[in-house]
Order: sequence, then C-alpha cells, then structure tokens
Amino acid sequence: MTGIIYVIFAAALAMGLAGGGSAIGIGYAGRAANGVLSEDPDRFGIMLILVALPGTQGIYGFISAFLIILQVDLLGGTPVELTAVQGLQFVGAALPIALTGLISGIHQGKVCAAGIGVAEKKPGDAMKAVIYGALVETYAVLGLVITIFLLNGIQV
Amino acid sequence: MATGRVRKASLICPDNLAGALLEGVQSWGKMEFISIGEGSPSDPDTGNWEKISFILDTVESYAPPEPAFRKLRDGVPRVSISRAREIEEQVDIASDYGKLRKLDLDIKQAQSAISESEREAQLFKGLAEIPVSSSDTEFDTLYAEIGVFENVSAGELGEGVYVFPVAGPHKAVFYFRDSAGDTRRALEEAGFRRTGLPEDKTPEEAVKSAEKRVSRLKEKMSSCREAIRKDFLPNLFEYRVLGDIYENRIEREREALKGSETAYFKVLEGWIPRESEKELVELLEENFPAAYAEFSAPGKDETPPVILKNRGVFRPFETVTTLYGTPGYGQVDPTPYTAPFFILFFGLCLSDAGYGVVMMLVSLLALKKLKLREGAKKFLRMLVWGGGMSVLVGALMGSWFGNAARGSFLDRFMVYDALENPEQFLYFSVGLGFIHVLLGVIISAGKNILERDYREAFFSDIPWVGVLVFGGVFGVARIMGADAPARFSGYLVSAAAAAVVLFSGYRSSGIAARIGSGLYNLYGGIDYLKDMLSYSRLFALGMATAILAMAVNEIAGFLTSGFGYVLIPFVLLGGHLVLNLFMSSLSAYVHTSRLQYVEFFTKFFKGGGRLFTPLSWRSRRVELAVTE
Repeated sequence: MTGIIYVIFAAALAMGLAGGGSAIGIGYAGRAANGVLSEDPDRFGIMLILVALPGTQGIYGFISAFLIILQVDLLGGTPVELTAVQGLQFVGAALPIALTGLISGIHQGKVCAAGIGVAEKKPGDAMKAVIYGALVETYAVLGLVITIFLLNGIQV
Repeated sequence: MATGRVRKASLICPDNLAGALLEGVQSWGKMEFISIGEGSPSDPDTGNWEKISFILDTVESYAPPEPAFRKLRDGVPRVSISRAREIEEQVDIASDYGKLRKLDLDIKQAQSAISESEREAQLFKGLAEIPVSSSDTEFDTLYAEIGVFENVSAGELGEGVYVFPVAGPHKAVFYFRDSAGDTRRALEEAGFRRTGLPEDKTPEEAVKSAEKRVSRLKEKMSSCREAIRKDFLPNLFEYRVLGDIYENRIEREREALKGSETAYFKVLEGWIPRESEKELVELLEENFPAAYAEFSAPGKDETPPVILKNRGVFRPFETVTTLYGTPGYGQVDPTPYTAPFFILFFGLCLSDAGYGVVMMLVSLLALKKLKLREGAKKFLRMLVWGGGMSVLVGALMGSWFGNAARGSFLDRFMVYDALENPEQFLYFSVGLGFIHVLLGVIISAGKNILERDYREAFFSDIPWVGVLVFGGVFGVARIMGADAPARFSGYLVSAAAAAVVLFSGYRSSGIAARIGSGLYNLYGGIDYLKDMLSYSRLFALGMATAILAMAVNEIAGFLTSGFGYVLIPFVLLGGHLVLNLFMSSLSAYVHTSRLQYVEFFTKFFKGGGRLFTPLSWRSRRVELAVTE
C-alpha cells in the first residue's frame, strides 16, 4: 500500500515542477509585456501569445499528473494497491516532464520576454519571436512523450 | 512552384503628364518603381498635407470612441476615387484650417490662462485674512514684504528687522531702507520665499477676481469646443477621405522622385508582372497616348522583386512562407508544399472534432460578418482549413470535446483510439516526418536541376533521396517481416550511401578529401533522423489536447450535486474553450510553423528575396476604390 504515497508524490512532482517552470516563465514574459502595454495598450493581442507560450509546460505537467491519477484510480476513491517498487516507477516516469517542464518553462519565459522587445520595436516580426520561443518548448514536448510512454509501460 | 516572373518597364512621357500618368499607374496597381535618378516632384499640391493632418488630428480627438466590435463589423467606409475627388473640390481646406487653427489656439490660450488664474487664486487664498494690497504697504523709511521662511526662524535676522505672523505660515517682514542690503542677504540665507500681495486689491478680492476669470475662460473654451463639434465634427468623414487622398498623393510624389528627366520628358522605370505587359500598353494607349513604354527582361546584376502567385486554398498559407522569409527571384515558392502539410499537422495537433467545429464556425462567421483586412482574412482561412482537418482527425480518433461523446452515434466514425494505442500515433507522426523531410530533399533536387546546378542535384540530393526512400522501404519490410524486400532494399540503401560517400564531397579537391568529405556528409545524415523524430511533437500535442479535454470533463463530472450544477457550464466552457482550445490551437499553430521552418524549409529554401510592392491606392481611414 506504500506505493500509493510514491504515486501521489509522482503526480505532485509532474504538476509542481512543470507548473512552477511555467509560472516563472510567464512571470518573466508578463513583466516585460506589462512594460510595453503601459506605452502601447494596442499590442495586447501579440503580447498575450508571447506571455501565454511558457504556460504549456504547466499543462503538460497537469496532463501527466492526470494520467498518473487515472492509472491508479485515485479519482474513484479506491486506488489500486501498489508496492513501493511500482510506486517508484511512477516517480521515474514523472521525472522527464517534471524536469524538462521546469527548465524549459523558465528559459522559454526568458526567450519570450526578449521576444516582447522585438514585438514592441517591430510588430511585423513578432511571430518570428514566437517561433524562437517554440524552439525551447521542444524539450518539454519530448519530455511529455517519454512520460506518456513510461506511464503506459507501468503494470498496475 | 517557382515565384512569378517580372519585366522591367520604362515609361517616357512629357513632363507635364507625369503626375497624371503616375496616378493612372497607381490605379492600375501593378508597377513597382525603381530609383534611377533624382526626379522632381510631379504634383506640387502636397503642401496641404500639413493642414489636413492638423485638421484630422484635432477633429478626431472630438469624435466619440467607436466600439471595437462595431469597427470590426463595419470596417472602414468604401469611397470611389471619383467621389473622393468631388469631396476634395467641395472642402475648402485653407479656410477650414484657418478657422480650426484659431479655435484650437483660443482653447490653448484659455487653458494656459486658466492654469495661471487658478495658481493665483490658490496663492492668495492663503493670504485672504490680510486686508491690504501691495500699494498699501509702501512706506517712506520702511520696506514691508510678505513671505514664508523655509530654513530658520525669523529671530536670527538681526536688529532692525521686525517679523509678524499674518496668515498661516506667512510672515510680514518690516525693515529699514538704510539697511536694506544686509537685511535682504539675511532674508535670502534664511530661505525667505516672497509671496507678495496683489496690486490694487486685497488678497480676498484677487481670489474672487481670479475665480471669475476662470469661470469666464472655461465658458470660452466650452464654446470653442462646441464650435468644433458643430462645424467640423460632421465633416470628419470628408477629412478622412482627404487624409487618405493626400497620403496617396505623397506616396506618388515619392515614386516620382525616383524617376529621371530631361528638359521636357520624364522617365520612370519599374517592375511589372510578366503577364501584365499588354495591359500596361493598353492603359497607355487609352489614357496617355503621349506616353511611351519599353520593356526588357531583368538584367543579371539586378534583383527583381518576388511575386507569390498562389491561388485558392494555397493563398492564405503565403503568410506562413513570408513570416520565415521571401524566396529569391525565380526560386521555389514553398507555399503549395507548405499548405497541405500545415493543414494536416495542425489537425493532428488539435485532434478534436468538437474544437475543430468551433474553430471552423467561428472563423467562417468572422469571415462572413466582419470587414477585415486581407492579413486577418488569410489567417482566418488558415484556421478554417486547420479546424476542418481537426474535425476529420478528431472524428477518426473518437475525440469530440475529449471523451464527451463516447458511447454516442459518433463512435461509428472512430477508427483508432489514441489513448488505447498511443505508440501507433507516435509512429504515424514520425512517418509523416519521414515523408515531409523526403519531400524537402526532392524539392531541393528539383530546384537544383531547374537552376542547372546539376552537380548538387545528382551528387548530393539524389543519393540522399535514395538513402531515404530505400531506408524507408527497408524499415517497413523489416517491421512486416518481409525478408527478401528487406534484403534487396538494404543493398539499395548501401548503394545510395556509397554514392553519398563517393560523390557528395565533389566540392573538395583530391580524391581523399572528397571521400573524407563524403563520409562526413553521410554522418550528417543523422540530422535527417533527428528531423523526423522532431515530428513526435504531433503525437505529444495531439495527446495533450485529448487528455486535457478529458480532464475538463472529469472535473465537471465531480460537480453533479447541489451548487455544483451551477458551476458545470463555467467549467466546461472555461476548460474547453478558454483554456484547451486557446492553448492547444496556439501550440498547434506555433509547432506546425516550426516543423515547416526548421525541418522542411532548411532542405531547399534560401530566401533573401523582396516582395513585389506595386504603387497602388493605400487605404487607411477609408477604403479607396478605383471603381464606383
């Protein structure tokens, strides 16, 4: 039964770290965007895209945590009985999205904050800055792929 | 598909015809002028621009703000050029400018006088208890001053100086004329700030008089503003038309300055689409018989502008191409290859039929009901196609707002469940990556053949096409357990790889260097593998949409009691439409673009071109139309 403690820890790890990365990333981008908006409120639309971009890691973390919760039927109130080894497998499976989400979220936020500078000076090139931001997210996407496959491979 | 070809057109016309000719070409809208000299202005009438600009800025500030939705719905009004010209004749710009300038100046002067009077009233309000004016404080042997001490107390000023409190912090200082020099120095050191008294009035009377003045000035300002609202605001539409007419005139002037001239003739040169040569000749014959045109092909040392000429479904995707860069003149335009993959990848990333339906309907409705600029229309058309593909993918995967419709008749369309067998979705995504990357290399080979760079095509591109095609066949045959085709394709892969080693280093000199370079190029083939794996993002984003939608449904499912029922619509609408549809479509757009730019375009697209921007009527405040 101790396994369930590790499973809860795994879900918390996926959501907490990836969500934390997104929160920090959005924090960087949001501060930069507010600076621009104080001068030119009409740029809200493109700023919103650049600020929202680092938010995806948190969603990937949420998805992974949700898959973990579903897999052990935590939502139903009577979770599957698991050994400690099985529980630790969930922790291992959660790590790819947790770590890539945390680190890429922070760095994507920094790239997007710089991109906001581009959008301010050359609004026509703002989407190019969005694409640069997306390059950083690649690794969170790959982290999510591996987490999904690892979770799929765990026998409960 | 290669970019559109252009011809160089040289127009020669009598000097006095240049202005009309430029306007004719502007209405035609298919010629981009080239700078060939230091021409002179063709139309001296641009001097009114400053007056129009002032009138527009001033009157616009009096216009009530238009709701953003109405602006989107109605767009800007359409005005024909001939009607715009009639308006120009009706409006007396100089007279309107003069009257408006005077009203504006009166308002500004009144504003300044109000500030001054308010400051005065504020100052003397503090001295209202003093019943004297400055003329009452003139004595033969004494000076009397009123002010505030900022630094020290009055006791340190020395003998013969008398200080009395008069009102609040204000003090009256009396000192003898004989020792005025020393006392004033002492007062300065003590930080004495003189406030003074009004002349011929007591402070109380001065406050009342200033307040009366403020009230009178405010009335004057208000009547000036009312005059602007009454006399000028109703003509705002006409001023906007004039604003656009003048901006276009200035643009024509800029083009005229690019031309060259003799004593009697003006010469203008520019690029036109190759197929429009006859049209230009007819335009000149019909409207400007005194003008003459000559045509020539672009010279080798010239860099003509690039025309993207995609039609139908492909046209909106030109924005994806131009966001990355403009192809060079005569190079391959990647738009027709980009469009189908963009639509497919977008659909796979969004992968939900319910979201696809919402996206399609909202985009179609916006296209039908709103008056949008061309860029916004192109973007919405892309969303219509992407949403449509998402409906198809979502229906085949049984995803309608996640698992909301599971168990309904919609299951009949489902052929594959990504949540049951996710690895097949991943293999499919990487398989699409293989096709996309292979297409990129094939386009590169075709482009090099068209550009007569046969060595690059046959020594580098085609061997790689062989490695990829036979490698693909080899992989499929191995998975299916077909030994003979696997063995045969294995030999072909080896042969193609050998061709890469032997020939792709053709730029190096010496056999050893060529083979060394070829081996390095073969090792570089790992990049193709890396590129294909990058398409696994299609799987990840598709799964992310489906699972997040499922999570929203699950959360709504928990609320089926008491007050929870009230929250269900908010959770479903907020979760599905605000969170998931917004974030997933943003990710779908951004990552689909990235796959085009990083994995596909890098195989063949060089860029460096400049888009064809002909002189045409630009519309900003109104839509200027050449036809009625």
